[in-house]
Parts: sequence; structure tokens; C-alpha cells
Amino acid sequence: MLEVREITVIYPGGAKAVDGVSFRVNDGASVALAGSNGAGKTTLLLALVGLLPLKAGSVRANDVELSRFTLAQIRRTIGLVFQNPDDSLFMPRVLDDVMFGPVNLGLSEPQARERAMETLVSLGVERLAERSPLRLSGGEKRMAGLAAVLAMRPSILLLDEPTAFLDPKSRRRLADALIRLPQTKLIATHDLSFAAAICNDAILLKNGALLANGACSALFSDAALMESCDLE
Amino acid sequence: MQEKIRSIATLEDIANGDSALHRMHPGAKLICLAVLLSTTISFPRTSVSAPLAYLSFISVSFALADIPLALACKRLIVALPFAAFGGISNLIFDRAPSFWIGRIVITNGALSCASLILRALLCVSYVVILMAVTPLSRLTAQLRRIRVPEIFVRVLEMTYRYIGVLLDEAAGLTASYRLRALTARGVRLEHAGILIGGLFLRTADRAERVHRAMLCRGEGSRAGLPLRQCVRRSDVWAVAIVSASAILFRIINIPEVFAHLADRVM
Repeated sequence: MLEVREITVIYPGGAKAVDGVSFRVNDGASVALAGSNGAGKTTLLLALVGLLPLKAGSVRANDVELSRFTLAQIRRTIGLVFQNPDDSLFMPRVLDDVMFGPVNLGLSEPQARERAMETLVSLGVERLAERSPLRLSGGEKRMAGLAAVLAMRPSILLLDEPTAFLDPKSRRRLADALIRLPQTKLIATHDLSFAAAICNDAILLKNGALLANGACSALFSDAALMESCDLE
Repeated sequence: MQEKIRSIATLEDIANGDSALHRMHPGAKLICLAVLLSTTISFPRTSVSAPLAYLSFISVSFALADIPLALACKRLIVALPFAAFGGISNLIFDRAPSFWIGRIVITNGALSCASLILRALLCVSYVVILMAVTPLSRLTAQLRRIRVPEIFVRVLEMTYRYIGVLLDEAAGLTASYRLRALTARGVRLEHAGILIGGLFLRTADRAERVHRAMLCRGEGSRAGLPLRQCVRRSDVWAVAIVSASAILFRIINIPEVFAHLADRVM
């Protein structure tokens, strides 16, 4: 379970990027974090894994509170898939990239390799294992980035604009893969049809603050609410 | 630019190959590299023929590891101007005659220039071979294991990754520039500063995001050093043979010995 209470994140310039946001994502649930560009979705996700400091509030993941001392534990529990897959892929081969997390978890090389291959097979992209991330297509990069995070077996998955740079076919393939995943998911997106296909609930952000929270069907069909969030 | 990115990927593909040199323990390779570098550098400054014997290490490595010659040559061409620039001052300032070939005087400066270029190219070749037969992750794991300060290893890793990021961003930036600077064949001088500044800002930003991804996946909290590999008897033999040969080639001028033998036979 992911529990966020009154969190505030302030950028060095003093601007409030996230302003007193609270919500809860239950075990196994898939929740969309919707909002237009600059709403604070990415900042919120970065703060949830301790990459940005909290000015106020608290984050709890499976009863572990985020702090300087629990960073490693939190990052083992929460996996963050970045918006640009190029940022997630930094090793010479996809297999090395997928092994990177498990090795840091303390697995031996053969164990890490086995886990990496299992993850790639589960996503149906085992053919990418020996390839260089520099030579993958956008869709392949996205799946490799997802595999790199899933190989750490996180119980909570945060995805930042997962459909960015994807064509309709890759988008559909990604949606199928995400639906099959048993993890608790928080998906930051402004692609409402994608969000509705995967998530039951949604959280709407505007200018860093929480505007609404509820079922996707109810929120997304409220034209006035969508208009006020600059979403379509 | 895309060509450069592909070239990095190619080197990494080759480094993941499977040959006797690839299978060798990274520590053994590092010892061989240290021995070869130190003996190559230690030649007297006018020594030209003796270092030629070290070409045998390079040719054997290329044959064993199946490294494409073109790949190594491209990197040597990059290093050549730097080596030549270092040697050219010797050519100008040290004009004392060393010996004559017919009427042509060969100066100490010419000899030291040739020696410097040769030794620099040999050293670059050793490093290229090491990179072509050892994945970076194994190399850095070994450097950590032999207690090389973390900051140096981290800088090496980040630099290697940063080059790819830099080239990738530069490719995007120059492509976008070219599309809109219709008449320009390359980057106009008046725009170069802005583009270079912009490039570094963009790459610094992207490097930061890559670093965040690494942190999210446990970087800095390693439970143990990865990719441990056992030292085999063949590794010990390889180090012994390379070290003994390198020292032998350093003490005895092998090309000169062959020249004398050929002279006698003639």
C-alpha cells in the first residue's frame, strides 16, 4: 500500500511544485495520476522515491516511512519507470541493464541473469537481451526500461507518462503488459484513454495541488472538471 | 554523430564477445596492461626499433579476440594528432645529428618524434584492445575490487556513459539546427558557442536523469561486488607470458637482433 500525506515539494527557486497532496493507493490497485503538463506529476513521483526532498508531509510504502535511513528499502519496494526510457537504459546491453538492479539487491551474477531473463520473457521481449539500448526502437526501449525496473520485483510501480513516444501498437502492447502485472500501480499520464483502460481510480492534479480523487469513469466523464484541469 | 554512437555500441558489442582474451580475468588483463604500458613508456626517448617488437602483442590480441582492424584504426587516427603534436617540438628544437642515411641526416629530434608517436600509438592500442575484450561493468568491478578509489571508478563509468549521452544529444541538436539553418552546411561560427553551451546544459540535465534512474535501481547500495570471476590457471600463465615477453622485449632489441641475423645470413 502506498500512503501519501500532505506532501509538499519546493523547487530551489522557491516555487511549490507539489502542494499538500494526500492520497492512498491500496494493494494491487491501479491508479492514474492525471494532469496537464506542469501539474506536478513527475515531481510527485520523484518525491515518492526520495529523489526530491519533501518540504512537508510523509510517504509510506508497505508500512515503511520514507526517510534518509529507509531510502534503500523504499527503492526496493517502489520501482519508478521514467518518462524517457533513454534515461533508464545506461548499460551496454539490455541484459546488463535489467541485471543492474538485481545485482545491487545482492544477487549473484547467475541469479541476477536468471531473474533478468525471466523478466524479459514475462514481457515477451527476451529477444532484446543481447542488444544495445542505443539500437532499440521507442517501443522496445520502453519495454526494456520497464523490465529493468520489474527485475527488482517492486511491489509498487510508478510509471511516468508511459505512453510518451509510443505508436498505437506499442501503446496497446504496453497496456496489455501493465494490465497483467500484479503490482500496485500509480500511472502519471495525460493520456486519459490509456489511463481508463488500465486504472479504476484516478487522482487529478493541477498546479501541484490535488483537485479531485475518485473513479476514472466518474472523473473523466465530468467535462467541467476535465476543462478545469486542462485535460481532454 | 549517429555514426559515433553506433561506434560506441559496436565496441560494446565486441567487448561482449567470446574468445580466449574475452574470457581472461579482468584483473589479469589489467596487470598485463600495466606491464605493457610501463615497459613501453620506459624506452629511451630516441628508441624507435626496440618498441616495434611490441606490435607482436597487438597483432596476437587482434587475431585472438577477432577485433576489427578498422575499429582500432579509427581510434588510432584520433590519437595520432595528439601524439604528433607532442613529438613535433622535438623535431624543431633537437637538431643534433644522430646518424646519416646516405646524405640525409637523421636528427635526435626526428628519432624522438618517431619514438614518441610509435609509443603513444602502442599505448592507445593496448587500451583499445582492453576495452574491446572487457565489458566496462567487469572492468570497473575489478577496479573496485583492487581498491581503486571509488571516485575514479565512478568518474570512469559516468564519463563512458556520458559520451553516449553527449553524442546522442548533439545528434538531436545538430539535426534540428541543420533543418532550420537551411543554407549552413555545418554549424556557423556565430552559432557554435550557443549550440555548445546548450549542448552541455542539455547533457548535464540528461546525465542527472540517468543518475536518478541509477539511484532508483540501487546504485551506491551494492550488497557485494558484482560479476566476480575466478582466477584460472590460464590467467596466471597469460600474465606470466605477457610480462616475461614485455620485459624481454624491453631489455633486448628484438628487431635489431633479427636485423643482425639477416645481415649474417646475407
